[in-house]
Amino acid sequence: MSAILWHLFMHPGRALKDEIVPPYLHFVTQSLGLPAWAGHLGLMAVLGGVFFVGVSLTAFWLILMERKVCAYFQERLGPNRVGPWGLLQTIADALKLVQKEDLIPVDADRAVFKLAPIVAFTASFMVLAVIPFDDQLLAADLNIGVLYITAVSGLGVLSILLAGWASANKYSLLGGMRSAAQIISYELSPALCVLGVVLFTGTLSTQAIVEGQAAGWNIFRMAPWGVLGMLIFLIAGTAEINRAPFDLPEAESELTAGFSTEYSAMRFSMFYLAEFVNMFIISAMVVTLFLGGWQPLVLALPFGGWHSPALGGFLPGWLWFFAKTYAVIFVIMWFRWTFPRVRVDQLMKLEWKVLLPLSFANLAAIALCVAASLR
Amino acid sequence: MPQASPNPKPAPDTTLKTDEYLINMGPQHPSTHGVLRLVLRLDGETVLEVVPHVGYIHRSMEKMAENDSYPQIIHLTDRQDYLSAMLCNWAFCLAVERLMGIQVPPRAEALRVIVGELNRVASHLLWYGAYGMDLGAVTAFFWGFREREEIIDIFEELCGQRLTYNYVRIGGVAEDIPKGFAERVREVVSRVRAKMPEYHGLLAENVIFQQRTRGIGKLDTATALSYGCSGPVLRSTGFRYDLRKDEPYGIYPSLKFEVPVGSTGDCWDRYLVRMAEMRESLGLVEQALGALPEGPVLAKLPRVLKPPAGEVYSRLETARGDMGVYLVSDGGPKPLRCKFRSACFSNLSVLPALAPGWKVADVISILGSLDLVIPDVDR
Amino acid sequence: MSRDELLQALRARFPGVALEEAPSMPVLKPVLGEFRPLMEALRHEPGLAFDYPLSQTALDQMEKGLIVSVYHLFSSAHRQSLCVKVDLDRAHPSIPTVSDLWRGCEWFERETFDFFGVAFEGHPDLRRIMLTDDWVGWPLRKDYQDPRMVPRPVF
Repeated sequence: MSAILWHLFMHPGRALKDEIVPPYLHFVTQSLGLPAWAGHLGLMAVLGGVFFVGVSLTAFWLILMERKVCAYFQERLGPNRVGPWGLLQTIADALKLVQKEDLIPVDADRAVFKLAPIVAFTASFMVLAVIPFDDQLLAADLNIGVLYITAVSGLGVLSILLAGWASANKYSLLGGMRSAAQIISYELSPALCVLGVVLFTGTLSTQAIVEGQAAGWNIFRMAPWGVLGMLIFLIAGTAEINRAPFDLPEAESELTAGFSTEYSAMRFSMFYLAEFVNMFIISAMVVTLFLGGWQPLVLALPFGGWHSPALGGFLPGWLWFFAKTYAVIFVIMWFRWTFPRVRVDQLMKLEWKVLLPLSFANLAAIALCVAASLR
Repeated sequence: MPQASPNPKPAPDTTLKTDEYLINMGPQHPSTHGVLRLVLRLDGETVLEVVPHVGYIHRSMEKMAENDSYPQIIHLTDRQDYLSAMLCNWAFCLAVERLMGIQVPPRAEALRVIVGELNRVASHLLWYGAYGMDLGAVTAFFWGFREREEIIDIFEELCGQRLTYNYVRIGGVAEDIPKGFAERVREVVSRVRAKMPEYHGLLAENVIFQQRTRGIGKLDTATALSYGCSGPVLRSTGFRYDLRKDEPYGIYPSLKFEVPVGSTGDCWDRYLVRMAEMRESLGLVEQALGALPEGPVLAKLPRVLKPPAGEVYSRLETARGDMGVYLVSDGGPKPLRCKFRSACFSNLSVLPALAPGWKVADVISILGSLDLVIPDVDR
Repeated sequence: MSRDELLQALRARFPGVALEEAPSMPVLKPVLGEFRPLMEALRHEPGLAFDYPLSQTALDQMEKGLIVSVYHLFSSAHRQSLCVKVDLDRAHPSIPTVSDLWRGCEWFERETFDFFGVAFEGHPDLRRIMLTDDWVGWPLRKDYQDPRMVPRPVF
């Protein structure tokens, strides 16, 4: 038993696949006499539930982390009353939000109003299906993983437009429109950066991208284009998730809270949760594409043959993954509490006149390097 | 005449018609620093017209002053520009002293400079934090308030109050300083001075902040003068005029300090002028502390003050600009007319000339850079 | 320019206008008819060049039946201040506006109108500024009565 637990700790993916799932399926089909698909359905339900709970806990933790990080930047303590070091603060906030009155404006389009937060939430969670947390620990090993991510993250824009429209509020509509314009613009540069990585690694599957980084993290192997790509992805990703310094739709947009003005209680908390899950996703993508995913530290020469041995390979992969993801999340939070907000036309100018041309140049450079080294 | 708008309205498009619409930045709004209502007429993101509506916190101070004795009016001045309350108190006391020909003891004059300049620093620190927060750098707010807290603690030790001091009185100041005050003030001054480069760096070295403030809301000297702007708003246009140097009062003639001046009159220059002013004020506090003479802190005055019939117009440089007090006495214990000329009133009146042509977000930036305290506008 | 030079210049330029040497600043007292040309001269003539409006307000002198419109001006070139006072009939106080000469006077005059009821002829936007638009009465006049006012205890 303890051996299984240890294996589960060190290599959860393989442990699940080899040591937990087969006996379970055997139990279901032989002892309970149910058909195989019932077993698989049950497995999906359980693992899906565990996954869902795990990500929600991550989001809870992120909300607290944001408040603590913000507090320490501002030389104060942050939440420290509810639970040791304020650990139970988010639960207290969630309970408070749950018991609030659910208001729907009289003129609002009720069905769409109720749909919008669900779409936001769903879109965020769907992306997580292809993020590899460890070797073989990912929900769906799609061979078009990266394409899937780019497609599904577009659904998030839909939720903003739905919310802005259904709120029957002039300011929400304008905030929603502005936010949608921002997100759609900022989807282009990350897509091009991702394309650069795909070009280099030769595969669209996220798991394969991470496995390829056993020969060195992509920022080392693809340097200096990899570093530029990562930076562009990070900046544009921050803009995509509506975080400062690009949070104009939320902060000033005609002086209300933008598209989510009319939302209260649980619906608002869905948007809020979705925002933090989005932050997790962008960080997870940066880590997966550029920083080696669940691989331990492997240095490498750019486009060269040499790479160092795995440094820190004794730690489990998922620990590496979460450490790197939280480091990137910390950087995103750092942005928010340091920089002022960018004005909306400066925002658009940044994307269309700076980031996009840079992304194209980056892609071209990677393409040339790849072609040269293949020759 | 105001500058030509940087984004002139494009030629009318006969195929696609856009609508102008009105947006209300209502009296309750985090960025207007008080109850100010701005009605913006917008074409898309571009502001065509700004109409400020004031008077939401009008408390009829000028009418109240006609029914108050002269010492009682000081508590009214506290509540106008409450961020530089010491300086507002001083402005009124200066008017009465000029009207009655009262000699203020030198120790009181030095103490007035100390508290006045500390108040200026505290006011600019709050402006720094609020401006950063308006533009999105929330951290600036907490940093500015932390340093301001130290100065407020000094004031609390001195006169028991954190915001509405009622400390500067006609003929001097209310009380002498407690023991150890000078050391504590020197400590605070050195702490604030040490933090200044970091605070300046947080905003000024940030390209986003520069993009939000450089070239935005340019004000030229002729327009500023015509609208009656004063203080850092006027000095940012390049017009070197500071009442402490040009129409001095108290012991300012004997103190050494520079008057920082901008060049283009945009939000960036106003920011730089105020940051430099903080530095100068800290130096002034140290000078006044170093030359603190002994003696009484309040001149001997009759119990009931009855200035001779006459009038006076007295001006003083508060943190926001030129506060004028027009006092008309008929020989009785209460003034016939007490008009408070507030700096913020005139500074706000220039907003409709500055804002058109810019984007909505720039209106926030310009409004923040004007450093308004709405109770000073409304009195 | 010193105070004496200013007094000399004013006496020379406006010989018929009453000039008082008060401690704060000289006071010119034109009659209503000569007010507007005098203000234009003060604003535009290079020897005077009063381009900065310090303040504009009014004094209610009920016993004399007057409302005095008071202007304080400053010259940025010559660094001198000046006060201009005009007596107005208390029953119908009306005076030409100077808001086209000094843009700051636009709001100053609105405030004076709001509190004293002085009508400024030619003002682009003469409406109340501090009080609500439907307020009745001129509060800063000495005979203003309001049911909400409470008598102040005499000390």
